[in-house]
Amino acid sequence: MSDTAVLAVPPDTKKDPARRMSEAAAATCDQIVTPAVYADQAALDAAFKRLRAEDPLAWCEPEGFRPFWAATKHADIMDISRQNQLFTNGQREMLSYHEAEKGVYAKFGQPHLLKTLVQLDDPLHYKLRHLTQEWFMPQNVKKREDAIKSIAKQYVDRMEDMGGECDFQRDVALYYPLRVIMQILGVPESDEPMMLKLTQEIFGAQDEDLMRDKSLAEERDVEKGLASIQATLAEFFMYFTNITADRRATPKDDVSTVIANGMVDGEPIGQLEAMSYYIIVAAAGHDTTSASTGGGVLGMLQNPSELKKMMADPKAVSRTAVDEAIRWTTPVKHFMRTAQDDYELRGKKILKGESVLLCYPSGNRDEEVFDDPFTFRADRSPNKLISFGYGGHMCLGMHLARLEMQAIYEELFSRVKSIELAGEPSFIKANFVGGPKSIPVRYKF
Amino acid sequence: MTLLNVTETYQVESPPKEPKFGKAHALTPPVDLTQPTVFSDNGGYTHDAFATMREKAPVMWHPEVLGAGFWAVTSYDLVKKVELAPGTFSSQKGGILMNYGMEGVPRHPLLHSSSLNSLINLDRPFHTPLRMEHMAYFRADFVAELRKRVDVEVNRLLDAMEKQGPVVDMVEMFSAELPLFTLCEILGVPPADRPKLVHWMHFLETSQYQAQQEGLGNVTPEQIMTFMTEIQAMFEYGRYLLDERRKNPQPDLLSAIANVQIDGKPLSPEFLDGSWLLIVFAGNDTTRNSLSGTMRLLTENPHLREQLKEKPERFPNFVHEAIRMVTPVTYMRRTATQDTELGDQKIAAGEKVVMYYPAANRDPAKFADPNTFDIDRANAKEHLSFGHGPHVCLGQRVANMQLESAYRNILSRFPNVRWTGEQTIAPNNFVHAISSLMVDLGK
Repeated sequence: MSDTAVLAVPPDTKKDPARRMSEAAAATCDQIVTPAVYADQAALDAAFKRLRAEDPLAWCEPEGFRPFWAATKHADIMDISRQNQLFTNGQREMLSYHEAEKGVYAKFGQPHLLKTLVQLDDPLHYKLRHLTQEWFMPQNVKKREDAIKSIAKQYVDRMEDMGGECDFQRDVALYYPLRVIMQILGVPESDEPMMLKLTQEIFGAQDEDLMRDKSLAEERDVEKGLASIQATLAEFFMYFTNITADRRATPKDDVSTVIANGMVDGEPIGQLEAMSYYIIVAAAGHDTTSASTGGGVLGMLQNPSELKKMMADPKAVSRTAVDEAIRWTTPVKHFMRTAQDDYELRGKKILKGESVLLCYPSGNRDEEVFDDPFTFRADRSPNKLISFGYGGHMCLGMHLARLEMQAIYEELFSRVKSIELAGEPSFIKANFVGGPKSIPVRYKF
Repeated sequence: MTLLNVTETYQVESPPKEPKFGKAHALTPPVDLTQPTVFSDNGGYTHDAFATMREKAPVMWHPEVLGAGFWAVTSYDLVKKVELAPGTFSSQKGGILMNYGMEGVPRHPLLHSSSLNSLINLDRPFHTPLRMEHMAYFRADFVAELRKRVDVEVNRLLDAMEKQGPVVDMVEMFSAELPLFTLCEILGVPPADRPKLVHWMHFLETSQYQAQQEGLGNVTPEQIMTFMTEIQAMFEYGRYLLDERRKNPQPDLLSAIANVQIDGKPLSPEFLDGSWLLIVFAGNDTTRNSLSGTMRLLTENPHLREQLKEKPERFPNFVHEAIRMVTPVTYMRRTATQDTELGDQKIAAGEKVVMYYPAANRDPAKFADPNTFDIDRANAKEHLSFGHGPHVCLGQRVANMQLESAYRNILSRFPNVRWTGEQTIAPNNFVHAISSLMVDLGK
């Protein structure tokens, strides 16, 4: 590994031994790392609201995790995210139990199993990102608009076929973005159920319903947890090794072909980099958009005035409604950065080597940036959502996500005559990527 | 002598042949300039290849697979020389595109006819009177008046970007919109009809992509039908507007074109179609790409911001230097009317000559340290991005004005704006086509 030194244990992330948590941080820090809290919007909102008001850059020492600074203000998240040399991803890009981190370090001598874009820094990050960036540019994804619209239509047709009731999240929102991203990767439809299971196991690994080994939820067993993730990754690897060989032999018009034949510094991209790339495209392109697609529908169902706006003119409202859905849901709950030098912010000093948790759900409810932040407004504009991040790691798939969601909202709300909640929605328990797990709906076409 | 349609008289493309008088320089093309992907595969213009050509063979023979081959001219002096000798290097004899396709190659008849029957493909004597009719709408006083409306539109577009920001596609939200607005103002297209033009522009671009996918079997008969219908609709709209202006002339460019008399006769229907296509494209693509390209230059040369802030009177030269470096139009072609010489190369009557503006604009013999953006470069204005001589770009004042208005407003509202490094270059070997450019407004 060129980007990280080989270490037997995770490095210390508290540089000033005298530093103590504030009252607000002590009261909330365990909440903001707990997967179950992310399934309870009111509890999460309350914790972040308090942090924004009382300690917007909060030193946190939650139980079971290495400490970090929690950045909860929109402006601070942007400020840190844009400084990609000062605040890097390589050492610690997401929350993981200290014990689990120790397990990975002991086994691999570094913090990751993979080498995905979110775990890399420039220059390698930029070079790898550059391989596919053209694919994900707005004008380029627009060329797929017709194909995407026809997938949207299939799923709305399917909803119509199911009669008057379904679980919008489980029956529609979960599969539609999967189909889109798999088509872009060139994975045949018949392999999708397996892909779905694999991406859910990687991202939803904390939710007992989605786990490979359900006993892990209670035990927090590091060895078993690691083995579970490794098993999932191994399946991915096998699958995509075949894809790489195939696309090298017969290039097609898909992203897998770009990845498989990608060159970095005049050399073909490495096996691990290629695998990691497929995984990040598959996983990041699916769960996030599923969450936002369902989250936005739920936002409308729970706010009939907004639903009315949307049904009155889906074409005109869908663009702002999509951004609001992505703000409202904030499917990616956090990423982390590690300071490469001391940095002053909000009168505090982040020391070199300390890490920062970028709390996107909090940035998206920041009272200083959003009017009425706790209200879902289908026509919100401006909407400075921070859900896609900012700076050098800003979501590569943001244009695709918007296009996809717009397509299905326009299709659904121009056809459905009425739609309402038919039961209590539930949410995924995950502190990394999550959103609605179930949205029972009743409707008429 | 009457004005005939260029399509009736132009020199049809012939199969590959060797140049009649041989080659003065042995260099073979370092890149294949006939490929639409020649620049898009390289992230932009192949300046290294152009430099090699300029040094080793400023008039280089470039063979074609589906054409006769052509002389590629890459030095500043020689490009200028060709521009200034329209009698020897004709626009009308073979048109201004590298290749219009050999006989029997399938093509869209209306697009083909319209890309040849227009002002840009005319020589004397008819070029002059037709061009004169256009002039009033590009003069300094007209442009100064237009600028007020452009300033308002620039700010309207920036408002929308700010709402959507911080990271937006500048092409979609700005560069594609502003020239279209300006053009519609000059032409007199009613505001209600403007979205149609946007639609056709996007459509034609998407179709280009689809056409390239043809090899992959991705084009369905339905798509071809849609293409035909859309193209037809685009031309019909132009005909409708021109017809309206014949009946009720207005103080606008379309009325001037609709009512012009050349040699005592109005323009032929083919020429009206051609004028429509030329105006819509010449006025759009070029400024669009200059606007986007300038953002890249501004990001790659951060000191420019300070320089402009210090002395805002540098803006006009900033614009010239930006257009020199961006060079939105890649080439124009001429056809030799007689045996002649260019530099030390003998050229035979009928041979094609293609002038490469990005190469001429970076000729170190003319522009010292040509790859450096020098805001105070004394001769920046002498760039050849607009061509030179009788065919020099009619709209250059409008282009400069739009760039200046755009960047004065952009920099005053978003002092930290920058390109994120992400873009799409469309496969195109005729214009430098930036079809997406992500910018971070900084707020």
